[in-house]
Amino acid sequence: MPTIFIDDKPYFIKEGQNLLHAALSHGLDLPYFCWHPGLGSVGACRQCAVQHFKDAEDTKGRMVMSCMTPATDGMRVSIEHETCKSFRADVSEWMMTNHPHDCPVCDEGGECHLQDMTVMTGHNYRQFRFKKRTFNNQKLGPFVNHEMNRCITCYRCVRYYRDVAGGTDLNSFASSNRVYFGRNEDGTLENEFSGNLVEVCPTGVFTDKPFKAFFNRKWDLQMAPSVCQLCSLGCNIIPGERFESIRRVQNRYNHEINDYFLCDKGRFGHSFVNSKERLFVSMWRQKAKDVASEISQEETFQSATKLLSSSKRTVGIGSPRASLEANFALRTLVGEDNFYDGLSRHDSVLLSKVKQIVQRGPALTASLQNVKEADAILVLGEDLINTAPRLALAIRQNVIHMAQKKAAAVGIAAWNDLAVRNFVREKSDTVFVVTASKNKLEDVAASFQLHPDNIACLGYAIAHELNSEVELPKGMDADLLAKARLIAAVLREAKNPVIISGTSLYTEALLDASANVAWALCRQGSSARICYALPEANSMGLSLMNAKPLSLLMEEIVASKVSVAIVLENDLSRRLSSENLGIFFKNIPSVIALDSFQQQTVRQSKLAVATCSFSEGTGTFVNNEGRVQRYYSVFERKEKILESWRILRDWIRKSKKKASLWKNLDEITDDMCREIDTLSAFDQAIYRASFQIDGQKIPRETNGYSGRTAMVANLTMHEPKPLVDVDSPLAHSMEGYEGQPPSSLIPFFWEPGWNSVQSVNKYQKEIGGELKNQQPAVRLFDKQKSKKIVFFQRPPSLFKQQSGKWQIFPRYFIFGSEERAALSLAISEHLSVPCIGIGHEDAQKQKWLPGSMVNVEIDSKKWRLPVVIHPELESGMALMAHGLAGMDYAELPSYACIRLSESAT
Amino acid sequence: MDKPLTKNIQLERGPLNIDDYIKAGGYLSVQKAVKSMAPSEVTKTVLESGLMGRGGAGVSTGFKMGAVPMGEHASKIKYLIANADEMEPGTFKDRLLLEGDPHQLIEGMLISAYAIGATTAYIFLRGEYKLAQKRLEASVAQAYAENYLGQNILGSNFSLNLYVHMSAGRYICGEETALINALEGKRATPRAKPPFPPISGLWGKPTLVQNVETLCNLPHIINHGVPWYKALGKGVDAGTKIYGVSGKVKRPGAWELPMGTTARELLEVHAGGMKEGLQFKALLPGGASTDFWGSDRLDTPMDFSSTAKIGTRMGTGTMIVLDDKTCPIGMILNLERFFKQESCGWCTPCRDGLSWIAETLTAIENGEGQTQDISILARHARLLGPGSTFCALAPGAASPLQTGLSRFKEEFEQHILTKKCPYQH
Ligand SMILES: Cc1cc2nc3c(=O)[nH]c(=O)nc-3n(C[C@H](O)[C@H](O)[C@H](O)COP(=O)(O)O)c2cc1C
Ligand code: SF4
Ligand code: SF4
Ligand code: SF4
Ligand code: FES
Repeated sequence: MPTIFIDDKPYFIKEGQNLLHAALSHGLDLPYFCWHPGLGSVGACRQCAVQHFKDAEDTKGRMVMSCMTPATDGMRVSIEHETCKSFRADVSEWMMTNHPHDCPVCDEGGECHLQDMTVMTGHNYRQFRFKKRTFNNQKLGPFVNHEMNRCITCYRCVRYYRDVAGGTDLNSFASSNRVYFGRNEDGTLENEFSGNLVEVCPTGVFTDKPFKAFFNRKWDLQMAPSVCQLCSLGCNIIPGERFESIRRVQNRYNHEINDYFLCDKGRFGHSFVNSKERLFVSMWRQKAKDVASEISQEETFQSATKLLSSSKRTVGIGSPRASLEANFALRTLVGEDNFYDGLSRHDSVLLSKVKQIVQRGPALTASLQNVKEADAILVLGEDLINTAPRLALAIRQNVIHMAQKKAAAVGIAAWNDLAVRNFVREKSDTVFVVTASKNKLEDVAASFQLHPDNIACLGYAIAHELNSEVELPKGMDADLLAKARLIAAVLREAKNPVIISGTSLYTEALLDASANVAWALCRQGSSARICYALPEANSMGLSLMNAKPLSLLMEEIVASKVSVAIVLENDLSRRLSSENLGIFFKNIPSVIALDSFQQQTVRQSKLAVATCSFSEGTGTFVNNEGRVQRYYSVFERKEKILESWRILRDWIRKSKKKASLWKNLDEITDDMCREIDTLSAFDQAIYRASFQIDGQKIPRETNGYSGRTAMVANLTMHEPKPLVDVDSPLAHSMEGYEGQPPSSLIPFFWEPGWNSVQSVNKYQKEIGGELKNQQPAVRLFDKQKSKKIVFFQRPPSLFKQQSGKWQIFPRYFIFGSEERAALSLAISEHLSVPCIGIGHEDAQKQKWLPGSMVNVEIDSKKWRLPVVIHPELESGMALMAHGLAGMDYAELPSYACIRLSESAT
Repeated sequence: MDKPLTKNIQLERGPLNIDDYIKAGGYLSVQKAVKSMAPSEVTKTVLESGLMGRGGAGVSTGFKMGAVPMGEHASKIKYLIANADEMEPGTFKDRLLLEGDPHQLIEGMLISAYAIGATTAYIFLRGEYKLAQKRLEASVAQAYAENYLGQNILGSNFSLNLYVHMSAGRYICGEETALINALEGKRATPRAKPPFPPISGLWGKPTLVQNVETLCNLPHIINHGVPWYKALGKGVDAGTKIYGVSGKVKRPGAWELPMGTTARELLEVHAGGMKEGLQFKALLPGGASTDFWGSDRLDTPMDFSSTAKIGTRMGTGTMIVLDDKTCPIGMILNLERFFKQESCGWCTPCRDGLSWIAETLTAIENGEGQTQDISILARHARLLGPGSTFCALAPGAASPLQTGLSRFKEEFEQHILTKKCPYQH
């Protein structure tokens, strides 16, 4: 293994690293600014200087920037040499010439990379005596706060925002010591990943705006390892709490998924738990028209068990956003026969198809890391930026990764970021993104738009090119066939391609087509993987429960004489048409809804049971790739609210006379994993509540946590006893194990001298790689693969326009289609509005302008919506906003008449 | 004495048009190269001629040309750029060539482009050089008309398109990689090297950036051969050089002289010595980014090798002379203010260090200096040296500061002690 000598000590290095990367990977402290493991090197800040010696005799050496110098075998360098050491302090001093010396009032204070690095360099007295330059700040929207005077001009923000996230509205302006980072005018940052600026910026320029509104220091937050609740990818997050509110969400590094970056929905959407719509107390409504009245937890228990004991038939309706445990508890209560999935008709169908595909194999599912490292990618249909945002960013990272490979051919190191970008100018020729409307990956990938059925046909044609067993759709034109051939040729050459699709276009043929492509590739011996964006965070988990489709219940509802329906964390108005919802409530006398916030089903139910949210209860999700991940409760309310599974457990205890059922999460986990075969691997991998390190639990609070007694001084003078967490190895306390816990149990990243988010360095085996205490992932579909391939046949027919009608497909929005994220204060200021998207040609023909109000009529139901024009949309189809507040559920894809609304303005 | 570079230049008359230029022997080198020399032979001849880049750094031109990938596997698209940004304070040698004999530059570019296989070339012209722009554009049009530019030049397989690009005007645009960024429409910040432009330059393609004066030498080397060219120089370095003198001398100007002419000869013979009543105090030999020389250095031959030997640089070879009645601190302040203003803002030492230097010098010159200012300036002069900044702008800025601090130590102390500038009445 190549070895370098740092201050005369030998260190093994990995080929292709730069000196900074190598030194940090060995845990050495070497300050840096412009470098970032997710951004590479540019050599701008000059903070990472080290001394490089010709040989063992050379004592003077030459100063080099470690981030810009390849580490090569036998190299001798020094971090401690006086020349580079004092130079690093000088760099700090220069940065400080204009920096406001007011850390105590800065939002970054206490978790600031600039503070940490300044201390590390030893700079402590600034000789600069002249006036500091000052800037105006900009209003950048609800997510990110801007305070330009704190800028040290490291260029990370623009490099991240433009080069990684693909944003265009943030830039650097002017020169000399007046370089300004911002937009060309005030306005909301347009990019869906803008929140990462908060973590990428090493100073207090870009900070978390909602956090600022209810600010406290990092060390005063109670934190826990958690998993994003807002899409199916399962990015790892760290929510932080104080005074029973979630103050912010930070990225929790997981190199297989989200690495350093989250999407803005994930970062800013979780404060729905603080929303006014939260349900803290249960409600009882005697008759449908009655005003509901608040009831205690004991009364809730009594009412529920009474309803259950007199019920002829009780059905349970599960949820793709509730934990595995909650769904399992409900299934146990009502029995498998009475357990329904709580999904809309198409979600049900699509999800079981996805499950079938990933279980049947032979293609393994792709993690985001697989996507980042794939050598070819095909996206069939899914509008990722809106349905699985972080996956869209992973595709951008893939494009960078592939460019690095190209640049290596002329000796440009992968980390030499601008050199790579300057050398590789073309769009990717290995990433293909085919969608119904523009997908925001056009700038980096080969991309074009088709009707969803035609996308599926294209997929079939690609698969046919790869394996003639797959049927070729009839009537494809030469252009489309040429495209199929080209894409197939690229995929054929790839060793580890990833085929991506999803459920959001409600088009089953897309799933079939993408499976065919992946399987045809597997047949050739490549390790092709498949990746589906699913509707919700635990859609895949729910699919393991063998639930019956909700639509089945609706078919038999009149005949079936259901007396009680328990709806688990699910708003059926998002799953059923308003007509069907009416039928549901009419035919089921007692609807019990459990949820953590007010929604239509809760409002209409007889008994609305308040449950805690992910921030106050521990649970488990299965993400889109079949990865089982547990999120841990962050805090407990003084007025404790129980998790759904505990509430349901109490009802089971009573009705089934099992008084000691599931005393804690471990017990229900055991039962669940025993009963659901696929989950058995999880049971072995999970850390039980009894897990301790050095006889201690893992504290959720930092050792600087303040105000334990002061916070409750109005109630008692005494420090309350720490709460006991019977469900996890984590403690609601600042006391406990202070070292680095296993990867899934890290409540926050911190090391002495490393107070900022970049302390994650200290937790990694290699910077940017896996964590030191990385646990192997539990991925459910990696094993049971059969080698036998049965391709899906029956490709759809190519789309034919119906005169006077439009075929309507749903359109998801990153900000708005997720019901809970929409309740977050920050996101509520950035919501998409209901609309109907029409192609340019159609709009011209109809003389509709953007904003024209039209009536969309499906069967006998009408939606009055403003027109949005998607120039690229095929004639004869339209995209109707899905899941936005105030929009009735529509059964799609459907044909509709669209007419200018009478009262159009 | 041979003056190949300026033989056609008569400022009163204006530049030769293409017919007269050809009559005077112009474009012969292109005929010769394209018809009878392989590209590699051209490069080899230039390498052997010993021509060193006239942009300031003095790198062997043949070596740079040889670094451009050639042959089957090399990129089909390659670029040649003439660096005509000439914003170095006190430097006006390229202007003489651009305004005086634009066809000579085009001819030089044809030779270079032929040697490296470039099919597109740019002249990156200083934003203020409006007259040069007019003359270049006219000459380029003539060259296209006569098929010295365009497709299949002189019936050969060699084609070249040439564009004149006016800079938006920043000193840093003269740095070759910042120039490339500027040409692409990006922020004019330098790029990291390696990769050097011959590997990855304009639009990521192999690119050669050469100074105007450098390029103008090429036709003559091809026409007259290596021994002739070597013999032009007085000392080790080959060829002639366009030297210039500015400041309070009798006859400021620019002259083509043998490489290796001493500073004294330039000052006393060609520039006619100091103006009446003024004494020589110091000079900057080649633009603002070089060291101050005192009278002790006047006999140094102005060439790359001799100056390197005594640990200093010739730079562009166009000197700025300081007399005894002008405040040296004022002069340094003026220079550093320029460098501060022109810092691209990419790297910390230059961006924040130069502002600090300029603030400090302003304070000293205004009588508000403090004793520690001298050590602060000295620290900066040391810290902005080569290796600590991203490009050569800051080390260039440090040169006059560092040498000025030692040569004008007394003046600095006097300013601070008496709290005023003794040169101001
Ligand atoms: C700040 C800075 C400004 C420069 N300005 C010029 C310039 O105006 N003209 C020029 O030819 N070279 C300039 N150079 C040098 C170029 O980077 C480059 O070395 C030169 O154009 C190469 O040409 P040559 O090899 O023919 O000398 C500058 C360098 C620096 C660092
Ligand atoms: S705003 Fe932040 S990230 Fe951007 S340059 Fe300034 S300090 Fe760096
Ligand atoms: S991509 Fe999905 S899982 Fe990741 S942060 Fe965004 S919403 Fe959450
Ligand atoms: S030294 Fe640095 S800041 Fe100065 S011009 Fe060069 S790159 Fe820009
Ligand atoms: S971290 Fe190396 S120069 Fe900025």
